[in-house]
Parts: sequence; structure tokens; C-alpha cells
Amino acid sequence: MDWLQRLLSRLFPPLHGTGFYIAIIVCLILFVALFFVIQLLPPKARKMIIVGATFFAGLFYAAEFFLPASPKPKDENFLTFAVPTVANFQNVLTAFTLGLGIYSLVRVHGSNVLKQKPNWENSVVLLGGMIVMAVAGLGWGEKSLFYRSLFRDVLANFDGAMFAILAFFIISAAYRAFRIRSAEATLLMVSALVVMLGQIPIGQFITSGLPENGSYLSLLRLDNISNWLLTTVNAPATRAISFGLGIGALAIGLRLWLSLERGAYFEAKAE
Amino acid sequence: MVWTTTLGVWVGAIGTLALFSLIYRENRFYRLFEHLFIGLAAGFLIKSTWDETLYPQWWTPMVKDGQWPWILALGLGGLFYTIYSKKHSWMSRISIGVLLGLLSGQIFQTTANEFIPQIQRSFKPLVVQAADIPQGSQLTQLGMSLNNILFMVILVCVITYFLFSFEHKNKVITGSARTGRLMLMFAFGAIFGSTVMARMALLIDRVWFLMHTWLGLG
Repeated sequence: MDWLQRLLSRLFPPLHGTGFYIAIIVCLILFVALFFVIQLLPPKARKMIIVGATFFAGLFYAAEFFLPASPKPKDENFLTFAVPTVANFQNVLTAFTLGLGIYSLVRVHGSNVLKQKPNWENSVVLLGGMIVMAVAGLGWGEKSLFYRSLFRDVLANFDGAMFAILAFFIISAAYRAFRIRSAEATLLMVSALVVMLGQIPIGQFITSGLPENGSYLSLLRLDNISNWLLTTVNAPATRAISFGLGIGALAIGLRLWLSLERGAYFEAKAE
Repeated sequence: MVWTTTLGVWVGAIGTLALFSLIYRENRFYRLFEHLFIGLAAGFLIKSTWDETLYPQWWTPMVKDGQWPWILALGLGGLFYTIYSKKHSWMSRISIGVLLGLLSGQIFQTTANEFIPQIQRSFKPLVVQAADIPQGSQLTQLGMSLNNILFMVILVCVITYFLFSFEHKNKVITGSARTGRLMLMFAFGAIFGSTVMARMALLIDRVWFLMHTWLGLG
């Protein structure tokens, strides 16, 4: 079953010292050569490369899932051993896109500072904050007092404050939504009120006179109604939504994998 | 407290007040601290991407363990940056294609591991036997049966509401979809209530920070 693993370790054995540097340099030279070679290809061939790359990347997980596994307790097939490595590769590839975002931030805010556009001071603060945080984290490390204070006392506080502000905006938006007098809006408001009251002491106090359990009257306690709403009414509705999302994701996944998707990105010519 | 912590608390407190000033109206003070927040968050993202992904999953296996084929990730990752060259920007679609391919391949596994068990668990017994009642549950057989029936009705009604493959002309379908819509509103209300309470908890935490950690009250 592990023949592929053995084959790969024979073809690509770990190298150290000079052998490692030679392998890296050869790979880089090959990349550069390949870069210029594929640039010479006609648009149709370029599109084939993109479609092929998409298909073969998706084929790994699909094959690992569909190919029969050996009997339990291993429950694996000849590709299963590579799943953690491919998952790491995916994470690493995603991590490389970070530079695109950072470049975009630096370009926009750097231009604001250089051209002294209105409110350019804010851009200085943004770039300064980014550099200080990155240097403190990568340079001095997680255990340094400066980084810990910057993270815990400043960033975590700002993060909490930003999300706390949303409480006001959500309530303001809800007020506007509830002004539309319809059956739907009423249901929304009633269940929101019950859930909120069931989670705060004053809400629990209102029905605190009712027995906690052992009687049908306990069903009328606000905390019990709130819990029932979340587990019996909310759960099936959100589950139905997630089934819809799951089927949609499966359909989109298939279309992406087989490059059947339409739209500006997928139909653009590879020129 | 040492000076860095004290300074951090003061910046955190002034920043919290500045960010809260948006509730009154948009102002320069808010804008300044909003930019500082974005800058710090971007810096943190750089640090965490290196520390949690690139260093342990790419650099260490490649350089320390000698697994040189990991250099392939650099070549493929580098292709993302061809997006800035008009002549070579098509190559960025190779890397994007690989990422999309990997993601779409994973969807089969997600469906099997997440949705199939959920579908199985959704088939609840409509007539509950005494043995089906979990230990510690205060519900009676009748209560649990009613809950399960309600669960199934809501699930079927909401799924009917999302059936767009055909026109809702049949009275049963229309009624079921209408009930599904109302049940969705109930569910959204419950989600809304929980979200507001979560935000309120954050607000209480901020007020506690200002009162206790910063001003030393309480």
C-alpha cells in the first residue's frame, strides 16, 4: 500500500549540505526557464495549462476520497499518506498571497504619504503600526514584553472595541427593520427578544417564580424558552440552510474543478 | 506594571474611546485609531503567517529536514505576483487554478464528513421510546416526540422554501414554503438575539477594561 510513499522518497530523497543547495539552485533555474518557455506558448495552450493545473490539483483530493480504502483499522488508500503534505502545501500557497495584500496596502498608503494627500498622517500611522507590529513579532518574538503588550493591550483592545461598536449598529439596524410591520418582522423580533431576555439576569428574574424543573410550568421560564428556541426551532432551520449551502458548494466545486464555471475570470483569454 | 505595559494600556484605553467616538459621529480621532488598528492587524497577520504557516510548514521541512521539493511552493507562489505585469499576468491564474482545484477537491470530503452525518442525524424518531431519551434529559416521551416532530416539520418546510427547481404552484408546496419562511424568521431572530448578546459581552468587557485596568476602579 505504501509503494507510492517509497517511490517518492527514492525519487526525492532529503538532501543536506551542498547537495541541498545544488538541488535548490537547479530547481530555481528550471523555474526561470519554464517561466520564459510557457510565456512563448499560444493563448490556447496557456488556457490548457490553467485548466490542467486546476484539474490535477483537485484530482488528488477527489481520488483520495473515491478510491477504495484498505479494510479497517487502517482505512486508508495509497494516497492517504500524502493528505497532510498536500494540506500543508495548500496552506503555504495561500500564505504566499499575503504579499499581494501587503503590497496593495503599502502602494496605496505609501502614495498618500509621498504625495501628501489629505489625511496622509493616517497613512503614516497605518504603515508605522504595521512595521512596528511585524518587527516586534518577528524580531523580538512572542515572548518579548513589548510584543505581548502591543498585542494584548493595544491590538486585542482595539479588536474588542471594533466588534463592540457593532452592538450599537446592529440594534440601530434592527430598529429600522422592526418598523416594517409584517408577520415576518414580528416573529423575528419576538424570538430575538426571548433569546436575549433568556440570557440576561433581568430576563431570568422575570420568570424566576416558576419552578426550574419537575413541572410543566418550568417550560414557561424564559431561559427554558430561549434554550428551546435555539435547539428546536433554530437548529433545523439553520441545518436546512447548511444543506442548501453544501449542495451549492458541491456543485460549484465540480464546476470549478472541471473548469466549467463562467464569468470574467474564467472566460478571460490567457494572453 | 512596567512602562511598556502601562503605555500599552494607555494607548489601548485612548484607542478604545476613540473607536467608540464613532457612535456619536465620524471624526478625525476615530479615523486615526482606525488606521492604527488596520496597521497593527496587518503587522500581526505578517507575523502569524510566517510563524504559524510559512516557518513550520514550509521553511522547516525544506531547510532543516532537507525536503528540497518544497521549493516548488515558492515557484508556484511567486506566480501570484505576475499579476502586476500586464505581459505575464495570465500566469497568476495557474496558481489561482491550483488553489481553486485543491479547494474544489476538498469539497467532496467536506460533503462526506460534514453533511452526510448531519443528514443522518436529522432523521429523528417521531415516536420516542423510553430508551431513546438521553440520560439527564428532563423531557418526557411525549415532549421529546413533539420536539422531534417539530424539528422534522421545520426542516422539511425550510428545505421546501429553498427549492427553486420548479415553480411553487401546488398548495401544499406553497403552504410548506410559507411556513418555512416564517420559521426562518424565527431562526434569524434567535441568531440575531445571540449575536447582540455576544456583542454586548464584548462591550461589557471594554467597559471593564476602561474602568478596572485603565482607571483602576472597582
